[in-house]
Amino acid sequence: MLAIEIFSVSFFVAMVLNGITLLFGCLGETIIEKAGHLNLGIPGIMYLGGIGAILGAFIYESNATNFNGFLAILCALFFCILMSGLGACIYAVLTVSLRANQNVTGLALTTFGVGLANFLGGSLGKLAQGGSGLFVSVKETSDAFTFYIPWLSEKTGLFGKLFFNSSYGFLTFVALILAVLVHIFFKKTSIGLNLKAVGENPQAADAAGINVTKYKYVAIMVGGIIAGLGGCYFVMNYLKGVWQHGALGDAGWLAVALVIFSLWRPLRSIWGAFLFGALTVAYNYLHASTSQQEILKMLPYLVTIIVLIVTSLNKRREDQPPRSLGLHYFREER
Amino acid sequence: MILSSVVDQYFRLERYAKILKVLAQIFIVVAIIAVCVLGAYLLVNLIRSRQKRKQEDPEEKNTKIPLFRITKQKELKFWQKLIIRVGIFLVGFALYMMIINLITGASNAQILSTLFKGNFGSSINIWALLRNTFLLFGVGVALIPVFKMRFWNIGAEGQILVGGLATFAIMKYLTPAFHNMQFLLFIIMFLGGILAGMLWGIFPALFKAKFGTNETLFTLMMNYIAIQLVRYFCIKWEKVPGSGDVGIINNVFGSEYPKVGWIPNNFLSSIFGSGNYVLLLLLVGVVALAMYVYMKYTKQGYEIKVVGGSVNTANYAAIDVEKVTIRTVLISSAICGFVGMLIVAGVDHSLSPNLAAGRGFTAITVTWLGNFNMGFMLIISALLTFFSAGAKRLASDISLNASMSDVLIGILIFFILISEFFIRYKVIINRKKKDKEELANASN
Repeated sequence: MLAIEIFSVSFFVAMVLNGITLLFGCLGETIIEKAGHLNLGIPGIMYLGGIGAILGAFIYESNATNFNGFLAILCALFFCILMSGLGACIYAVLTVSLRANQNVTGLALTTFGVGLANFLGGSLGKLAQGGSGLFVSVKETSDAFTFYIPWLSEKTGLFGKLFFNSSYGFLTFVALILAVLVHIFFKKTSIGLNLKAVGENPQAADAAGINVTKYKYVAIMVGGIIAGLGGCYFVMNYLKGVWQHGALGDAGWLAVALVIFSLWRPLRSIWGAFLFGALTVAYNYLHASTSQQEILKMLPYLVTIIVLIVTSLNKRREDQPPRSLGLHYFREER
Repeated sequence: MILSSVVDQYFRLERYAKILKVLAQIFIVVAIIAVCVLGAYLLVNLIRSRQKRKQEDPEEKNTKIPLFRITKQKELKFWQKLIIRVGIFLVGFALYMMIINLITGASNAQILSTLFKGNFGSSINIWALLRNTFLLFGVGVALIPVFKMRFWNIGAEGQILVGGLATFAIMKYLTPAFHNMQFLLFIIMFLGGILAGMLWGIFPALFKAKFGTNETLFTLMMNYIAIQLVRYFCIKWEKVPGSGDVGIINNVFGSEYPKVGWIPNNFLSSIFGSGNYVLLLLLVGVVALAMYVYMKYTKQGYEIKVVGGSVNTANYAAIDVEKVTIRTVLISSAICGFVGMLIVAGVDHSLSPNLAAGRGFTAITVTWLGNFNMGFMLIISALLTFFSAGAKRLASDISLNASMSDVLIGILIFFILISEFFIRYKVIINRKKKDKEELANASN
């Protein structure tokens, strides 16, 4: 019954597009979790990033007389960063300065972010099409995001189709480079080591002269913005610039799951992202009935649970979550 | 209304008007949030400024003194807490009104009357408010013991869903056999819901207790497995192929066993009118009462508190931490499954992946912000239900996008979180103290 169609180019491309979205979210969440904050607001932040990109592109497209792809991308990215930064900022102020419970704040941020994104999406739809506009489309900007080098993508046969597909755009490669950079950041730079110290043991880090509050703020902001880029990537590359209600689906939660799967390691998260991407789209490419498809959609979550259990079983110290994950730090409380 | 016209005046650029207006509104909202937070902070400081301050160490004179510092608050009096809570909540509510006002241009009176109409407009609205408040409160009650134990069960959503799923399955397959013995059917449904909830709770609990597996992430993932499972059965049992809709079970019209397995909604209808949810409220009330007694007066409740306070202490006191963990999570997830059963048998009479409607997540906020106090929890659930139902009414009456309800709920929760900060900590501005010190030095 489950005939396999997963050796097709379109499957590979869908896998990459979904995987890179999760990779952005995962890298952002990894940075935040390394600072000791479990940010369950990542789905909300990704929605905010996605709608930010749509908003920026919409504003640019409806105002520009001569469409310039570069400016459109800049405008979209600017608003994407602004919106996801706003979400991350709310989370940072509440959990770092005001020491609110991280789980509650994160879940509230997800409600807020998803709601705001759908609200703005609906409003833009109305602006664009009047009355009952159900979706908003920024096709031109989306095309600008997915620019490609014709020779590499079209003349090199299967190689080009798989690795330089015309729908990848530049953000795919940005994500991969970013993963390597984050890896180097944590392994080789003193700032990265300091950040890890903040997440493991903020008391010790504070005693060593590290400004814990500053590190946490910067990590949450940067992580949030990177996760927001994931939302931008998804709407621009996978959805081709069309925003509908609830466009991003469960991508944010999968990104949180991917962090666990990758054991907080950026390099591992690259292939993890592709695996998750494959698992999320697999149902489309296996000849399963609609009900079986729903069962297949469980796969990424099941895999995450298995990884969670296995890592807690083997008790390797380098595989464990940051030790102060989820706890707030208050200097006077020792 | 006023703000809308201000925006109109300043941004009357024909071509860009629409977009700039949206943008300007967004930025004004952000600015208002910032001003409100600052205002609340200054207000609370003003109240606090009379409190006695301790003398600084003389050593600190040479070091750079930050603008303000934060210390732990001594236990406040009840009325002080109340003032802070109500005050900051009102700020949040003002913001809520302002945002709706900005977007729709409706007057404050209009918004208020729509809010009340949406909740108290008819007996259906009132019962919906009560019912949803109590369902949310019920999930909140389920989370009390686990959170007291510092076990972060954020899988209530999934536990509700599987509880509902089991109930629906039992109604679907056992109604023909038990339609003459409704009471027995109810008991089977009750057990089914509870066992399904427990099944969803036992795995995270077992692995947490035996191997220390992170329960926050485990329970979170279990939610999505439950959602997919329900989606699977929705398609499996759908009425019209391709719709994914299972329809109303044992419907009044067109089914052999009308209303069998439904929790009766005409209980004491001479007093409460027909279509009431008194039985549902009573059932949740009984669970809440039982939980209160369990936590306060039983040995097991005490053990939970000890484990939550410190696992080491619990070990020294010869409390079997593994056993307590598993038992407590089972109780919690059983109540969640029970709420799922109430939703299916008492309210929806149907199955959908949306039947928990985010209650599992919202209840986390309710329990945590209610600080395990059932009175506060009930008030918070009522407020959240009130504002979400009100926003939905606003959506239909004055053309507000329905997603705005989520945004507003999010903002209210943020404000409640801010008020918690001011109750637990106090902010001291150092500037005045510095001046005092300098004065003291000069006089010496």
